[in-house]
Amino acid sequence: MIVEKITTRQMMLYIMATRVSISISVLPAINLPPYNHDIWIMVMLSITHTFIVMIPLLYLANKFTEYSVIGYMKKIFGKSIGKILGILYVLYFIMLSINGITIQSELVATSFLVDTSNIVIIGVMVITCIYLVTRGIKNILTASEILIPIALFIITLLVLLGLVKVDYSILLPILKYSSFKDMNLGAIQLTFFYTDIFLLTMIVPELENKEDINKIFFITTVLSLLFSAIIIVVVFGSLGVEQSRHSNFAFLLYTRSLKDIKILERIDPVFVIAWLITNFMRLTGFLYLATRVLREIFNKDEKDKIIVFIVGGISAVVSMLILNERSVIGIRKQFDLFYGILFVIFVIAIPVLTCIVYFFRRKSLNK
Amino acid sequence: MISRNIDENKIKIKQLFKNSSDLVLYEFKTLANGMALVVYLNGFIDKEALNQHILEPLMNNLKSSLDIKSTVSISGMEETDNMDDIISAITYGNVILFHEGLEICYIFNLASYEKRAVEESQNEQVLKGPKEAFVEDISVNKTLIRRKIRNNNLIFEDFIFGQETNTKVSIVYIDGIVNEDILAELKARFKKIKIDAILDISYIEEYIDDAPKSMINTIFNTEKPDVLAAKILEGRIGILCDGSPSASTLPSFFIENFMVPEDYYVKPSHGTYLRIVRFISFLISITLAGVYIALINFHQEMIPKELLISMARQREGVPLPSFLEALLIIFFFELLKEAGIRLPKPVGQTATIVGGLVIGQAAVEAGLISAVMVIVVSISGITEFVNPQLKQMIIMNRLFLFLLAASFGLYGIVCGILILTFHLVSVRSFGVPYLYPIAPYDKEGMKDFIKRAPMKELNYRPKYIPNKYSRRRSK
Amino acid sequence: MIKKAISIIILTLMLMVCTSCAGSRELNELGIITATALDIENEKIILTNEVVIPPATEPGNPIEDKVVYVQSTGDTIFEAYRNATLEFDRKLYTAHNMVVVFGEEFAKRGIGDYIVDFLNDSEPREALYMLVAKGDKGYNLLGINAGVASTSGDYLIGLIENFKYTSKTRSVTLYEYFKYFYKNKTPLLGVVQKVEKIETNKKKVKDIPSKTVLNVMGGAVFRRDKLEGYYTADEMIGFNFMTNKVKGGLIVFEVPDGKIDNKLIATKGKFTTMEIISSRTKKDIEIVDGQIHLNINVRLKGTLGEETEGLRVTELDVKNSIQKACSKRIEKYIETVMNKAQKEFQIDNLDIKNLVYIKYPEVWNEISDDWDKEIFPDIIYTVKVETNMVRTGLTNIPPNLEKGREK
Repeated sequence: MIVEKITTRQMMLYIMATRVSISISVLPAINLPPYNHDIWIMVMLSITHTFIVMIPLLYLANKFTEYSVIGYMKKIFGKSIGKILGILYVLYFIMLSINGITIQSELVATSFLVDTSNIVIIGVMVITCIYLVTRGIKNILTASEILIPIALFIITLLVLLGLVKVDYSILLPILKYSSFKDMNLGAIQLTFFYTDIFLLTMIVPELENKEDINKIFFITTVLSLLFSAIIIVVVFGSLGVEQSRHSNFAFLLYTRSLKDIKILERIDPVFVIAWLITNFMRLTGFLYLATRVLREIFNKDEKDKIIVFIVGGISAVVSMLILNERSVIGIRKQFDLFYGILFVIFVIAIPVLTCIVYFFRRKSLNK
Repeated sequence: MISRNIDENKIKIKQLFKNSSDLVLYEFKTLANGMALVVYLNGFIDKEALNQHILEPLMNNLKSSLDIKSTVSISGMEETDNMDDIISAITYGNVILFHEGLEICYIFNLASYEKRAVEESQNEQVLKGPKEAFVEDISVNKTLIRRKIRNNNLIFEDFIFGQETNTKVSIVYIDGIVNEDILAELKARFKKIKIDAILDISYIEEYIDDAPKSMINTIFNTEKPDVLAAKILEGRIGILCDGSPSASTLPSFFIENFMVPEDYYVKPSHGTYLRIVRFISFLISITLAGVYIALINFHQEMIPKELLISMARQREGVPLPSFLEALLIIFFFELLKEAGIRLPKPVGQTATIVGGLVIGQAAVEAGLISAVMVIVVSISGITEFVNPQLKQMIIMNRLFLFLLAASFGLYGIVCGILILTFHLVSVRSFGVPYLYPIAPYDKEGMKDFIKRAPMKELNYRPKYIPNKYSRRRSK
Repeated sequence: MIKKAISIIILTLMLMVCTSCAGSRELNELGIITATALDIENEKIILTNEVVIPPATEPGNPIEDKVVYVQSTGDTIFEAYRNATLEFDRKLYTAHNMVVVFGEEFAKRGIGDYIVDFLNDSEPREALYMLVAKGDKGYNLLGINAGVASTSGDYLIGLIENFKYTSKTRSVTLYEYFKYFYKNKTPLLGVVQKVEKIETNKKKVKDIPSKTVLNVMGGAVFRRDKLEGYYTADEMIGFNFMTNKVKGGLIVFEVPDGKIDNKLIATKGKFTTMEIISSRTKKDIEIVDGQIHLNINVRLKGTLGEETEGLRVTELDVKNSIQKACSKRIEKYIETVMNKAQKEFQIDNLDIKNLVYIKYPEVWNEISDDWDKEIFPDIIYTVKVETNMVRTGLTNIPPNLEKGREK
């Protein structure tokens, strides 16, 4: 009887968590150009690049505040093309979920549950996420209001522990060894890793203050990339540039080497908890998006649970097949390329197309 | 139907009550030269009043059978001509008066029976503050509430449930503060109740519960009138049940389980401290056993070296795997608790000493279980008693987290905590989110969450409950 | 209803069976390692581990932990670990192992390729300390426990963590080693050696005149990942000053010579000690006409520790001359270590290459390859040390002098 909408604060916390989870599990920035100690500047430069890249989607989200992405695509392109686009987006979201599942399973399998088989890790993860998705988006975001501050607090604490003893001379000389072209190249490639814009634009109908979309996006991007830059500085200060690029999970290595304060010496399982929480939230978000698009295509209600099982099952099976074949993080060039191309298609190309078609059909739609 | 003939009425009533031995039917002759019959249940009425105010005036002063009303000096008299009303009236302690030649009978309320005196609550004890508790009689309970809120807006509404027991249930609220939607919803749910017996208020709770299969109680129980009064003043609705010393309030939030009336009767900083202690003990009681098993079975690298060596020293020679050992000790602890409740007082002390100290100590020394495990399980058991309202939730979830931790380590614990949090978030208590005021966040509500703000700052009622006066009328 | 009950029972049973499907280990299946030694013999790696086996206790009768030494061979370290399970009944658990001792021959062969296992496996902690056994095999140094700790691993760790009291050694952990490895390609490691000492405890048996203890003074110099030589304890003081890692310790210098106003009494051979409170080194580099000039600036704050000759420390000029003498001593330390690094080793582990990287990026690519052998030995350096004696301790004049009628 009390109509609940998603508040701005919940949305900000959620998106912040999904962005931070990518930074702390696999720091993607340190393997990008310019490949030296100026990477933190490149990360901050990436703020502007993120804005530019996401402009089409944000513009469309502001215009069509009562529809999700599939909703306005159906409206602009017509029902049948809209449905085809919807199916493509479902596949894209499932790909993103598989990305999340594979990275997390490999993390878990190499760092602390070493003798466990892939089936168990993926099974537990997917079953939990299926249960979480069946609660509905409002409950997901409400629960994130409790859990995410805890996770962010733990990560901030870890960063602060290292910040005190970092030797800032590793950051010198600034910008003398990197060319402007390299920095831009790295910044663009960094934006391909963060796909959380969909979590914002697909859930626009349930937001409480629809004018705050831009504010949410702006604040979370700036904060999360700044945070990522600080993490990079701390990791470099503690481990050195080259060593952190050698390791698969740079932040985990950093937490394992903290030993100044006696009580907090073996603190990396606490970090593991924080990172598991943020990763689960991200996975839940993408699985929910996939189910929501399917529901909108087939005009089903929020109460329908079979679609969740289908989507979860597909993701689990495909992830298992991938993980049984090869390593996802150790040998990642092909995966990065693949997801980069998908990003360009689904985040840049199709929304730009939608905007162009919208401009042409504006008059007929507003009648 | 009542007949003019008293003997017929007598036979009819005896048949209805199947000649139950406590039914008293007394015939006497009134001054108006007719036979009158009083029917009542033995032990249920005030015999003095019966003799003085009914029998005496009727025998000595009655002029005609139509004057009974003005002769009998008892207030609260009803007339009826329906046999079904008579049955219900007799079972509620009324005296029925038949007179020869009248087709109606009179019902007088002379109920007076043995009930428990108002004494200190057994389960909700406080050191400072009012100590009265509800008893099993609903009219006494109503009076206790009335004495706290002397206001004409305090409203009681009565219902009768239970086809066999015909128990009186009443809801209480303050008109003008209560949320009308929730009241209407409650009455609609009451209409759907079909049950044969109500022995305690929890029977009703099960029928109106929002999440009957979950272990969370979305309806709050209390035994003290001051707690009930405080909750009604915030806009909630209370339910009283005849024969039950507990009262329920709805809608209920998760944080109410941590609130004890004593928090409000001591200084704010002390109240905050006590709440923090309770909250931390709740967290410990759910997670300690699971975290311990996860650490010693999966993540031994998290334990400092000296502790690890001393734990390994204790585990040498213990035959069982750790989690079976933990399950055994948990089970043994539950046995002790159950036995402790049911033991008669003289034997109680001996049993606890034998069970707890001797068997536990002997088992550790014999090498069957390790000492650290006993400590862990007993700490989680003791912290379970700090929050008695959450007992069901703690026990089930502790076992759930424990099994997950023994299977998957820290990974399982995180999954378990996520599932538990999402379950708590998705429960609605009569439309109100259960985890208010943490999520959705409400700044005014947070003043009474963990920190107990001074009375001057608690200016607003909880946002989700009332919709007429959200600001307390102290201004 | 029945379906639900059955499904719950099945789930619970599955969970209970599942408790062994995720790789859980009981505590009494682990062999907890507290120290490791690595050697090479006959082209095979010898891995020696000190394992703690806690015995089953009876209360009231505490038994000490049994310490067992497990040795195994293999072509790589990982193989050696697994080969140990062929002869030892528990799997070795490395997560609490905090010290690794390399034999001298192993270090001379190059450690970089071998210790990849410590980085790749998730069990060993990257914060473990590494030491080089001076002139000896690694496994000869395990098993010596001359301290209060219960295992020799703890004894070693205690020795290493004492470094802040003397600054004559250095504690290097695994990740720090690799941090400097990539930066300069010339890291430094701590050193440990066996020392025979005269027994001074009279209660012991008479016919054991000496006992063996371990000593961690000095440092081991590496070129890339191969051992080149050693620094002595005094050179290590200079080294720590140069790399700004001095956290405490003493400077022992001779009392200043000469007299001022007939108030100084100075004799050669007497010592003054200054305890270091804090110290900070700044290095700066300048390239002038193709010649690199290095300026080293040390600022030191200290407390007067002892004064074995009667100097009136209350006088300002006496204080200044004590400070000057201390500075001179530190300059001598630094000059010794720079000489050794430039002339004898021709290895720059003093972090000077980094200054060129920061200040002169244009010439970096040209000089970074031949830095160690050709450019570094030709660097001209000047040292300037400033000592500030901020406190004198509890007394203000040594006991040899009398204050008399002085204020």
